[in-house]
Amino acid sequence: MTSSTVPAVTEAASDTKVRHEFYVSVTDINVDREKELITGVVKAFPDDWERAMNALLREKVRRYIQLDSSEIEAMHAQYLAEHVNLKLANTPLPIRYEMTTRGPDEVYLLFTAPYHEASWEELAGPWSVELTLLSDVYSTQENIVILHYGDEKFTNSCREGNAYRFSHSF
Amino acid sequence: MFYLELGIRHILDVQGADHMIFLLALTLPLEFKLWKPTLQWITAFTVGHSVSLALAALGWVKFPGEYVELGIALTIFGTALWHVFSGFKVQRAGLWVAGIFGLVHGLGFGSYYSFIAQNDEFLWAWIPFNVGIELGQILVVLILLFVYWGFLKFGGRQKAYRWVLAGVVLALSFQMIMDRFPNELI
Repeated sequence: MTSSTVPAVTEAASDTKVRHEFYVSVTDINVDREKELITGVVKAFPDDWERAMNALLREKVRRYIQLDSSEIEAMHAQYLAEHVNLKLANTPLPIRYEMTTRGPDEVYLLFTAPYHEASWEELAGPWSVELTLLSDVYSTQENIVILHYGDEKFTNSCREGNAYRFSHSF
Repeated sequence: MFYLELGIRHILDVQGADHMIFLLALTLPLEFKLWKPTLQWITAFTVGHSVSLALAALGWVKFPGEYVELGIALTIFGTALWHVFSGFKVQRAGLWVAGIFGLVHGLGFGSYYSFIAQNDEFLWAWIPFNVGIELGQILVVLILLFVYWGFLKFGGRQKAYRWVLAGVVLALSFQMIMDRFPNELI
């Protein structure tokens, strides 16, 4: 074995405790014709989410668990606004955080975005979706997005490989 | 297409080297002219992986994560050791080894798959995801066989690379076993 392969093997071996660390979220984005709104649901693993929020709170020397419900809501709202960017035909759609709910193994963050007076045909796109959720904390974060338009849907992912954004037209 | 790509990435992801190290261990006695057992072994691994992934994702089987991770490390160590003791012979049992060990590897991915696929149609995502895994594995194995072929072409000895690689795999997987040994068993 050459001297250069020894450090490589040692480095790989030192990482063997870390099982496959999958950092992933799934976001459903619906064009809701009845409410004339874009509705979105972000689903993440609770432990990933808590670790991320704790990382963001580190500078303030606080823990996520110490926050009261209004502080948590404010933090989630700010985080979503900074990390979810939707554009329809190059026009940004401002995100409004609605609420957070928790399942046994998931945390859900609900948001809406008004699309004002766009016609159904105009809502077909082009859509530009940029989701950088948790990528500031986990370098391998992958954010899967399922974009719904009527009966049609499109699944793609925002990750490091595509600069956390994709475009699509229905 | 998305789930097909996801399956391929699942295999090629360097962060989850378990799969690649297992494929390295599995293919130690293989070469291009043995394409038939090669394809059979990889497919058996995919079938085992797909079945247990579906069972785990549907919640029909549940194992504590740390035991699954330990099991994965043991499959890698066991495969390399088996080849060493059998003198790197291609045996029919390889099909069963690949299939049964594939079951263990699939369990490690059940919760992730369940998380990502519950928003989409489960079956619609499961099929392309597993096809992607098969394609990713074929790609990895082709690269490995090409490297083995190149080594021999430039005058290397088959025995040499097999023993060196088996040693590396055994060392890495032994380290994995030690690291992943659940605290309650110590």
